[in-house]
Amino acid sequence: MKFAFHVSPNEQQKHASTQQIMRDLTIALGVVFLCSLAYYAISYGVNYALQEIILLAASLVTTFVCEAIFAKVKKIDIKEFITHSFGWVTALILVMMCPVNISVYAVIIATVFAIVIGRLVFGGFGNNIYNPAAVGRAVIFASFSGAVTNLTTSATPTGVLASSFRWMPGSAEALESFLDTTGGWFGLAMGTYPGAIGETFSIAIILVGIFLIVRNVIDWRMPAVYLGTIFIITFFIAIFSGIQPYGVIPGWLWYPMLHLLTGGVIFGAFFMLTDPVTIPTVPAGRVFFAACAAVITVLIRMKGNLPEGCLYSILIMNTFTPMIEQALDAPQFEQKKKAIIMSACALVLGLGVAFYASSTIRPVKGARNVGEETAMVITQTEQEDLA
Amino acid sequence: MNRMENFKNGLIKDNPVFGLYLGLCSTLAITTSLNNAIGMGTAVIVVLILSNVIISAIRKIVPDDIRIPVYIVIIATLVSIIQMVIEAFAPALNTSLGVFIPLIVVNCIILGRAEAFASKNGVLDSALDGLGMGLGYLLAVLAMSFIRELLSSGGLVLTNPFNTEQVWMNLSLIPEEFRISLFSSPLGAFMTFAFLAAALTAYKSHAAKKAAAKTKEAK
Repeated sequence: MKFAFHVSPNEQQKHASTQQIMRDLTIALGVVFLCSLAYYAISYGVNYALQEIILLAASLVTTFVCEAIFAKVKKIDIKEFITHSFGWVTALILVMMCPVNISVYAVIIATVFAIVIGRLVFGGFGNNIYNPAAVGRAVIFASFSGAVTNLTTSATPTGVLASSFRWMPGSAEALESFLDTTGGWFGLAMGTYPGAIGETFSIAIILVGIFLIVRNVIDWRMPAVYLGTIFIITFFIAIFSGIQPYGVIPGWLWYPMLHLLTGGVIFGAFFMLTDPVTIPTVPAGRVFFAACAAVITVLIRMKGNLPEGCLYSILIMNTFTPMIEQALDAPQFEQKKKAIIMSACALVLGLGVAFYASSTIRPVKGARNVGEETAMVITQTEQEDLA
Repeated sequence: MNRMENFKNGLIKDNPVFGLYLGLCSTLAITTSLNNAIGMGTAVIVVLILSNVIISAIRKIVPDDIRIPVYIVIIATLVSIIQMVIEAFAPALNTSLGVFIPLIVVNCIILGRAEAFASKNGVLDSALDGLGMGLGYLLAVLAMSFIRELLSSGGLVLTNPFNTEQVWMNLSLIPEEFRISLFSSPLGAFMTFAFLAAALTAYKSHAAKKAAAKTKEAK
């Protein structure tokens, strides 16, 4: 007779080690970064690509210097500490969230905040409360809204959407005049429009994300639930406020797609929401986390001052991670009941947001002369754009 | 010797802000500029010394059951006087400190010292303790406002509180594009406070370790 012996579930699955996971993640982020390098080099010139490389190099060097000093103070072996702290992933994500014309100094300070305050003071890799890259980006939001170099790009779609259309192009003409600025649906999907360095390449990010999901590096639930919830909420907004069809595509289909394809939600969904350290460990908790983050994102987009809300939604939900964890820390049946109640609450919240947004914002119906208006908003939104 | 120690404790080891975490509300709010910090620190020193002296003088005739209301009445009277003085002679300081001058009444440092020290010790000791604690508070707000003003506005400005047109010092050290405006917001206040408090704790534990090593050697 043979005994079937199973080790505990986390050992049973073919999980990769942390080193392998981080290696895959680095490769994935590198691919997206290369896409962006190619795009900026081709459409704006070598200067822009060079600036991207300088930004990344500055961020990486700052990260390593900060970690080396920390290791020195704590009397840990420096090389060992740096290779096990994976600071470069934070640096990569941070740089990819910044617009290309940001000053090097701003990136350096943001990296210091991300690494030291976001990570090291909490005890280093694995102990941080907030997503470190998001902390760094929030510092840029709070401090360096004017720190730009003389490289200019045209206005970013989220900025245009927020300022000219209040995120609600209600008719085919309005949509058309918006799409003119981004190179049509194809441009939106491929990410060939200005924005943060690495956030716009939707197709590339999704492909890389699927690769990471297949390799078991990131949890498929997070992007799926997050993007799905955004789709559902904006679907209801489109229906409630009567968004008109665009050609043969009905309003309830193209409007959610517009929300998903513009801004940083796809990047955030695949690379920031999936940070295993700052999200709940329970699958039900993760679903709830992602759903709530989606509700907050849409709320900030529609009603907030900022054109984009992905980053702040993640930071806000990071705060609630221990609470979600504790709420779902129960025997299985009870946990299931609680998870159902929590998901129902999130659903009601989402529908409430959809109803609120559609009842307070009137869709912009006619075509807008985007060219003139964007000239004014370029400088304002460039920095605030894309979180 | 003992008196000197009482005085010195308030400055570094039992610093009211970074060591005992007292009076944080006003500390976080008013440390946006050096001017505010100096004004607030001076007001707190005056109130603290006077309240310590009065409370220690009447400590034997105050019934134990109603001591807290008595202390509060004394402190409130002193704060009202100080506020009127500031309003009369330094109106600019009054507007920039705003509600935080009357709030000295409920500042934990003052009631805390009254309860913990002045009600048990003599008049001279209490006055020295008040001076030490007050200077500790001044030192703390000066350190915080120095860091915050320097990083957020790039320079340091000192004006005569009694005549705002007289500028004593106007330094501009950091060029505009290198300033971190984050530090003028409440977030910056909390961060500065956390780092300075951590630094003091680290210094204290370092000193304690050294002292322990010394006593071991002596044995």
